[in-house]
Amino acid sequence: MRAWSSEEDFDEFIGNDGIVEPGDAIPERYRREVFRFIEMHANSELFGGLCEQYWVSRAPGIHRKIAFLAKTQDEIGHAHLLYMVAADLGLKTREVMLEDLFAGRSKFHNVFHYKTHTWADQIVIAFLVDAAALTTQQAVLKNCSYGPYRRVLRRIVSEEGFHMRHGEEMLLTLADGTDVQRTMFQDALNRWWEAVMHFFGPPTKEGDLLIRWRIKSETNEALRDKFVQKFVPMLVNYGFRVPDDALFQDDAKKWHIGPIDWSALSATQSNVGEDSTARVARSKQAWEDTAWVRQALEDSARLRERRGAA
Amino acid sequence: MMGSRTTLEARARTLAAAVLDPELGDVTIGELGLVRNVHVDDRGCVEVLLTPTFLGCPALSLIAGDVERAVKTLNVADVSVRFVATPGWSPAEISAGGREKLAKLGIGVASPEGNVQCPYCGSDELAPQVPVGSTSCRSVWWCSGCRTVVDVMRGTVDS
Repeated sequence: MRAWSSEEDFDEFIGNDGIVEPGDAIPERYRREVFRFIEMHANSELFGGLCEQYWVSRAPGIHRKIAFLAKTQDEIGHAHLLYMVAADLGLKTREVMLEDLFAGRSKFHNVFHYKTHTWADQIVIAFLVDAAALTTQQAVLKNCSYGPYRRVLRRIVSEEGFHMRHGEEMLLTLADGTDVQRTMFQDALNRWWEAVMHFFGPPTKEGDLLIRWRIKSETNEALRDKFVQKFVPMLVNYGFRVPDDALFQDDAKKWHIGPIDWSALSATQSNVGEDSTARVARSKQAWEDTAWVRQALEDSARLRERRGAA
Repeated sequence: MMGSRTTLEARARTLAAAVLDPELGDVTIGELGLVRNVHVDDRGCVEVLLTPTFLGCPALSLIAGDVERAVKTLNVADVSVRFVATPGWSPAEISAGGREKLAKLGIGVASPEGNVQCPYCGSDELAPQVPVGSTSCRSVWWCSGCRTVVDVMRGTVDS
């Protein structure tokens, strides 16, 4: 177990690429920051899974259904791993984190505060939102100071890469499809583009603790820009219009987006977005509907124990 | 003729085995033990037989496509990829190299004697959390040695 005499001492440790491990006597502010970050990630994985689960019965064709089933399982699995890492920080148990989430007291990513109107909305989420998530997660993974989170993230990132391949394949189907399919995607893109830009968060403030303690190592603007440089040209090549009138490409081929209106993001941050209440209610319902599974697991474990003892 | 057919089968097998699992970083399907057999028929068509880790695996069509593309580089008449369910796959078929790469991802594999160690710290103090994790071929454990959550590969046939 390591301990630091002051936050300045801890800063130095972090500045020298130190990795925090469980049992270290970390500054309480670091504990709170890293916990909040992982809790929000866990909540978002859970909501991502529920969002995909909704589309299992609606997805066109058996292959898409299988893929959505598997992705749902992946996301819920990721949430489970992350809740365990978060719980180990000792601030909230997994049960309390879920209680807070179901009561609408916790944060989850902005993209899960909106309705998905058509199949194309879900493809925007499967491709662009997953790509945005992967961009931010890869940046965290590169140099995150919290050891247990890094280890779990490594596995999550490998699986998200697979999701993106699937999302891109679905996008290609619409891009290569009929006018109706292409229009459906363009409409969805128009609805979601701002939320995708918001996903990376408002400009990182000077002295941001997440950056200071290397919980994440790149600013929100840097990540948003990385995403724009990669995915704007892709959308343009497929013949879609990125809904940003000020968007342009400079002589060095670099893309520049227009100013972002942040008003819609603040609503999601206080859980009063378009679909926030319904999503929270649905997550609570899913938890209640699956109580029998947890009971069955507990019962079978007890039964096995009793048999083992006999 | 037979000699060249055997050579072709061996080369096709090598190419198929080198295909990466789409969800496991640099782990190949050969290291996972998914490549069952490779046949070349009289017309020079190659058939690759793979076994899935579990029947509902969502990566199967991606894996089949990747294998087909890889083997086609041999300029053969045709390539078909078929999944065979029996005999079922088990984690025992993962090669030593595959185990090492999986461990780096934080995924453990039971030894032939059935012992599981934490892929991070080597501790055997692992407590089961859920029998099925983010995918049906893995379970989730908690290592009290290094306080980390780990995945362990599982078969779906006998567990």
